[in-house]
Amino acid sequence: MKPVLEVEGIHKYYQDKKLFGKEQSVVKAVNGVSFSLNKGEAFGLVGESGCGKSTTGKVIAQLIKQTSGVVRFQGQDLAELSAKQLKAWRKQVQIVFQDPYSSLNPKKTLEWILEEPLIIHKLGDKTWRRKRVIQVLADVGLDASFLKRYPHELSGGQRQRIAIAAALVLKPELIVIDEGVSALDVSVQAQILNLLKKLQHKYDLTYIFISHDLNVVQYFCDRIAVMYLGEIVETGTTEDIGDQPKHPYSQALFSAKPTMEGTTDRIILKGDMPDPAHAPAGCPFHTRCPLAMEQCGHVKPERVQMAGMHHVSCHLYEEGDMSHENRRCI
Amino acid sequence: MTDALLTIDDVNVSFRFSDGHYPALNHISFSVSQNEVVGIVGESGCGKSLTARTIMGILPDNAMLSQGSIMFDDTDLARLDEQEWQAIRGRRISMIFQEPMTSLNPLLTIGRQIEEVLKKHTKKTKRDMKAKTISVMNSVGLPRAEALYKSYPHHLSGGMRQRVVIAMALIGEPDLIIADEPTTALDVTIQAQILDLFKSLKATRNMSMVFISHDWGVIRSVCDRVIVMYAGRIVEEGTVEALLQNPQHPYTKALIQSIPDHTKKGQMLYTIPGTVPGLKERGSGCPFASRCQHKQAICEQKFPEPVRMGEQSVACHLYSEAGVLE
Repeated sequence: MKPVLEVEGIHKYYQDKKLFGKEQSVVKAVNGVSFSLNKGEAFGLVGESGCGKSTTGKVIAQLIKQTSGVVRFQGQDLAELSAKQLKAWRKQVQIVFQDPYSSLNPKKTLEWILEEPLIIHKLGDKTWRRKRVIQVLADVGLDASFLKRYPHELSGGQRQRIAIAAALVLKPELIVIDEGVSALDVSVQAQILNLLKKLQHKYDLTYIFISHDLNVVQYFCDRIAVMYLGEIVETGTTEDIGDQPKHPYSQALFSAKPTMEGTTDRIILKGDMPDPAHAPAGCPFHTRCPLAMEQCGHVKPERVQMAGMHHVSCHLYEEGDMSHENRRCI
Repeated sequence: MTDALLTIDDVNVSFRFSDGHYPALNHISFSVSQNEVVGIVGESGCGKSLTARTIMGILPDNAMLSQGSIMFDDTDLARLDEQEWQAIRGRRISMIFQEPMTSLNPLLTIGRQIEEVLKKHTKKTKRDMKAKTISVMNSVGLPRAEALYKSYPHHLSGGMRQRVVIAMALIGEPDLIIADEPTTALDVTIQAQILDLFKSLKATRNMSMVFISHDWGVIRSVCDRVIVMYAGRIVEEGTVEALLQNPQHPYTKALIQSIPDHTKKGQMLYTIPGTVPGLKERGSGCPFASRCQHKQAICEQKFPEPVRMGEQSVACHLYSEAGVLE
């Protein structure tokens, strides 16, 4: 099957310019991220604040341009598209943000908010658009009585439904959900997660699900990539990562997850993630890694395949090497 | 169980609006023993944060404590004036707020803000205060404490600010900490560090806590007992194990069922129909009645008395002292 999305070695650097244009440090927000997505998949990007997961999401939606690297959508390199073609392409990928309070225009009615994308893309006439808006409202579980309402009249869960409807109205192939359920109460979060699942089946949607909540990601996603300091350190199926994390960082991350079963053998990491403007040489994690070796400080680990779709970038492992099952931090 | 350090007895708090008074907390009673961590869970608007503010005596201007007592040792906190409060806040009881952006002063250095409690309550020298501040900053996992001491809140990331707020609460070595979602804004690995710190403070200093969170996983890892609130009422209370393994109130059951995790992958999550009733839509009956699958006629009329059931107590008409009613 041909992948919907291929991301190859994308980098996003921000240059910190000092007064009088004297160049200072380079912040490597995303530093060589590659993965591909099949149709209908839910792909989770996890990691701590500042690891570059949101930046990766924005590059994929082309809200920001990558410094280098290739984003290919249904085989088409997006860099080769003209401005006009790129605009038409934008229908295909939509993004839902965390904060529905700030992503909906408070001065406009919901009908206006949901119709605007259709107008921008010059789709249909007034009656068709209205029909489409009502249809999409129904898809997210709201009725036509919401058309004339304003965002402030809605509860948090309803606002997030509208944000999803606004993404859905253009019938996209791929939706990036950037912390889309993080601000919600559990009971509302459950409703929104169910809704996203339902829509995925109905419209054969592909999701990139960005979240710091590992429980939600493990529930929702088929595959997971763990990011640290702008790089993917490990990727695999949800079961691979959740049950058998290989990278010392993934192990620490998943062991720190608060669960209902209570915690066992928690790995407590020392210190914070380093400043991305002064990223360490070699493996990005070596400054906090309990298992760091001499070479980790200067040689960047290659990505090695463990089994199937499970890949890890760590010097502890070699290609196809299954003897390191028990390389635990503790 | 040892003597209670904090006993809240039959507290009512109401909000004053132009069209009348509306109760926001109804008959809240619970106690916290020494060396005990009591969790409060519930959805937004259920009164968790208001309970914390009521204990600390920092209610919003239009809210009023209309009934009840809050005994801390032998002092009724509900009857203290502002001056008497000054001797207690920060020193004996301190609070960790959930928004570090609003609880830090942007114009003062981090060091000065953490130190303030020591300045107010102790006669330490400047050098001693700084040493103490740096050691507390280290214990909450703030890196490069010496350098941070002189920096301002805007230099720090959200997670670091939250740890500054936690350090401010800890430095006075209080007997009781009221923590309102203290780790919600933190990344999981930092959250794990902080939860570990709370646990060690409890073990070494006999510290007690009221721990407000919407995350059952966090509650599970730090709390001894937990209180479930809904629309300004306590609907269930008990040990963490009892509540997680054997929830009795339909709301607690629904809440636990709706939590996503890897074991529920591929299934639809349980959802509760309807929404939490607003402040002005609450009658005299059980506030959960309109969303409850087991609603009876009496539920709309009268709020049920809490019933003791082994390790927990539950306020629901489904249960009586004798056990489950049919």
